[in-house]
Amino acid sequence: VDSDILLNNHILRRSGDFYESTYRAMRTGVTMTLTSISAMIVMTVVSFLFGIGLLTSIGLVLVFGLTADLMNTYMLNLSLLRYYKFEGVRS
Amino acid sequence: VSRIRDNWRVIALVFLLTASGLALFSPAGAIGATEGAEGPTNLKFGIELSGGSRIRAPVAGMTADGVELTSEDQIEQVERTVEQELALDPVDVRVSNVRGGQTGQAGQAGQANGTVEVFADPIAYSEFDPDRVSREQFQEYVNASENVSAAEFASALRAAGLDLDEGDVRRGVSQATIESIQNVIQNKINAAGLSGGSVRIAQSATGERFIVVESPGRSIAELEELISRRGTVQVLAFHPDADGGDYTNTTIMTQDMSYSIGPPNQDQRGGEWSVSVTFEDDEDARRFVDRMQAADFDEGVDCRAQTTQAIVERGERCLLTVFDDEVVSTVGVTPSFGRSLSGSASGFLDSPQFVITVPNQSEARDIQIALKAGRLPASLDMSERTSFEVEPALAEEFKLNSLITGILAVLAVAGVVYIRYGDARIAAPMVVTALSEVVLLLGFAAAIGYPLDLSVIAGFIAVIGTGVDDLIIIADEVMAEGDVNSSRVFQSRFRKAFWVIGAAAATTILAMSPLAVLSLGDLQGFAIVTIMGVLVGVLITRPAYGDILRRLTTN
Repeated sequence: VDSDILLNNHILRRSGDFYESTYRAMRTGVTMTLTSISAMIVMTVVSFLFGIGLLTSIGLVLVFGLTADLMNTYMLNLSLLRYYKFEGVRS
Repeated sequence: VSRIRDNWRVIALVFLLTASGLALFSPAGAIGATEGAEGPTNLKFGIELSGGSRIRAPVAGMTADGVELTSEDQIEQVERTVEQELALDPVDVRVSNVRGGQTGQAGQAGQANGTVEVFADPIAYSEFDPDRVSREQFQEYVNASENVSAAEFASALRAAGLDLDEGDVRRGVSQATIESIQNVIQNKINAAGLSGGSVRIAQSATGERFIVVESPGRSIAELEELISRRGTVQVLAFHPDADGGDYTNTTIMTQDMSYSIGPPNQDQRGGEWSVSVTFEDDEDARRFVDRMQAADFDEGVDCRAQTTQAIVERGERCLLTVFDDEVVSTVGVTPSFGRSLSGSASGFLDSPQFVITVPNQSEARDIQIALKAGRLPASLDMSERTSFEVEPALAEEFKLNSLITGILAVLAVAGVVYIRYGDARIAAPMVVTALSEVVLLLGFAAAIGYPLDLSVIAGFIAVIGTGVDDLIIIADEVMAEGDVNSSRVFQSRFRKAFWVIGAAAATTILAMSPLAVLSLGDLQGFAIVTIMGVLVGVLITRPAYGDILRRLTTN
């Protein structure tokens, strides 16, 4: 949710060009998610080597979850926001 | 002075970190957490991390709620009818009525607050003689009895004059019963000396209630043996009835009496074991004497037979000790003990003590525990149990490896953050702040003695994840538009960043709070830790990081 809120906040509440805001929000948001993904990849691999099944499962699920979140935020949410910004509100 | 005022958030963080450090490491730091703490820290570990076992099982029984019971007589009559219709023991039927918060009183007409419960024992094959009953026959018997039981219960209720049908009968038992089961099992655990064991009631999403028993450092077999026995102990007199004809049982002593129990003791000569019972209540002692006199046991009786059949054949009279429907010993009464019971029985009433004799030590121990803890009002349905066990040695290794895994994951985070900003002055405080969140949470857990479990560790992972995310938001926001040169510019940018963080934190807390309130077992620990972590992050560590960042960016 973090990155979604971040994106919405940047685009809707701040002044400035749509794509410029998006670029700034993405810079932060993508860093956040990539940090988490890299931590989870390390955790998955190490716990797999140590044979701690549960941490491996948590890590694996989170890696896929975060990757899905990355796509969800910057493909779905961004498209919806752009629609809202440019076409949805005509008054 | 102004420097202190400007940096009060950092000072607060350092203060709390010191407090957590004390709670974690100092011997006197933890409040009430010394018991069960292990290793160099004051942290308590749950069974997943320290080794141990857990069993979760539903209670075997059926309940009909909303029964209209208008008089004491009716309660008794319903109890007796259901008992006879279903051929159950008196202890297996419980009729209760709640009026004005009090149980056991008759209600008024039109009020349907009564509850009828039957605690049918789950049947085990081991209770049957394998030579006479084959496994297939047993299975048939179980199937047959299960298929009819709900209907049978309903028809028994109708026979008792209650207007109920099968739909009114549910599986499970009442709240009062499940709570008393919880108490008895806790007593059993204490009596058996399983330190740190705990019992709680958990509820599934469908409303079914379970008893969850945990014991650190014990195997599942030990725990199972302890809780699968109902623990009913009775002393019966087995003797010919008054006309000298058929043999009958007279109840001499039950667990409903008030007494204290001595430790298991071995007889010097015979090698037999015994447990001494001392009546605490004069009335119960009187009742014991009356029953012994009524059964003509007050002159001492000889009993050499080992089984009830042999007693009948030899024409003897014996005292039977019955443990969970099984006769564990048959004994006579010595002439001297008999004399103390006869007449006004002043000898016995002065020191109201007798011994229960048992052939071996383990049985003596089981009986001692059962007498101390009381009997379970209903047994647990062990056929539907789920159990979980971690060996202590494995858990030790697991803890160390988890720690290494955690450290490596933090290093990975540090690496990515450094690559992104190319500036150790921003990345290093970020990692330190995120780690301090974990230290604060661990300190908190140690201080209140909350046991660490895998779900709690998962919560830590979630907290570090959102923590670092939020710190990245702060750093990006603050440095977004060129260098920060005044404290006012910093302040306004920091506030903007905090709006995002606050909204995300509120979302997380709202999403987690139902999990924290409902008793869903594992998820509860996860939710509590996540909420705590988010609060600590938003209120303490992230503002402190802002202060550090301001100090580093503005000069």
